[in-house]
Amino acid sequence: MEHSTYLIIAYMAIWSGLSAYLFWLSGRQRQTARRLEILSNQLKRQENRS
Amino acid sequence: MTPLNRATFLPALATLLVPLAIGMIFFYAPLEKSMGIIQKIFYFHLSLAGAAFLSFFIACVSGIMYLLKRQRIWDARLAASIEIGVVLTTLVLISGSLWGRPIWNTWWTWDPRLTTSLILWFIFASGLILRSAIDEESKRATFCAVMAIIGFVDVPIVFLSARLWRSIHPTVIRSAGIGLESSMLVTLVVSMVAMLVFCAALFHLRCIQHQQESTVRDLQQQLQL
Repeated sequence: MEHSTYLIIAYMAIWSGLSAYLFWLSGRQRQTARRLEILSNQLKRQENRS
Repeated sequence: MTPLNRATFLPALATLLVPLAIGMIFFYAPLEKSMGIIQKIFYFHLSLAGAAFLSFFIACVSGIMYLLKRQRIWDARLAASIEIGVVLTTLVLISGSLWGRPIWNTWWTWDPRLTTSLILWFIFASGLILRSAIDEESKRATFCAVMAIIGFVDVPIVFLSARLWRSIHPTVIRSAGIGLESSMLVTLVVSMVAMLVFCAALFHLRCIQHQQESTVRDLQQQLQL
């Protein structure tokens, strides 16, 4: 393989690795938002009952 | 600076600095004579390593602070810095291996710098596994804090390994000074600043997420009672 091919693969690996981590973070953020929504719905139901 | 400002300022600055650094690497920094174009891996390889070392330093300080104060904020900082440090070290090992294949004619060699870096990765990656395996919050944070403090001992060993033992890994930062041409040095500094700002933005975001997750867990427990 040419040196430039290794360079391209290295840059792709670095930035796709960092992008994958960012996507994982956004997934966790969505999960937390969903859990918070479920909790606020539960809280509303408890308030309505009381 | 308010928390909201900081949350938008760091990613915005990183968005400006990262393309600037990439542009400087390919259009400003000259080609290195003996290695050629493959040497351009070095700018981000070193920046990632520097940011990883800083992450592990923050993890060590956060670990000490958690053991002293037992506050959740320090555990959030500890977890965020270990996680970011492991991601960065993984990328350092991958980019180093991709540089080593054409230059050393091998993907991996048991050189002191490479071996100590791999040990560092194993220490903190096992810390992440340990973290996910313990349910009790205070026990998890204490174990993780102790592990981060002990694990940080390997960071100066990684840094000094190429000087302490016979190593084929290139050393840029030597006791005699930095062995780089001025335009390469400027590019390296810009790349390092870009990576540090990017990682600071990630760290800030991850700390907020950890705190939000803890708050949601508390609310869940309160509602279940």
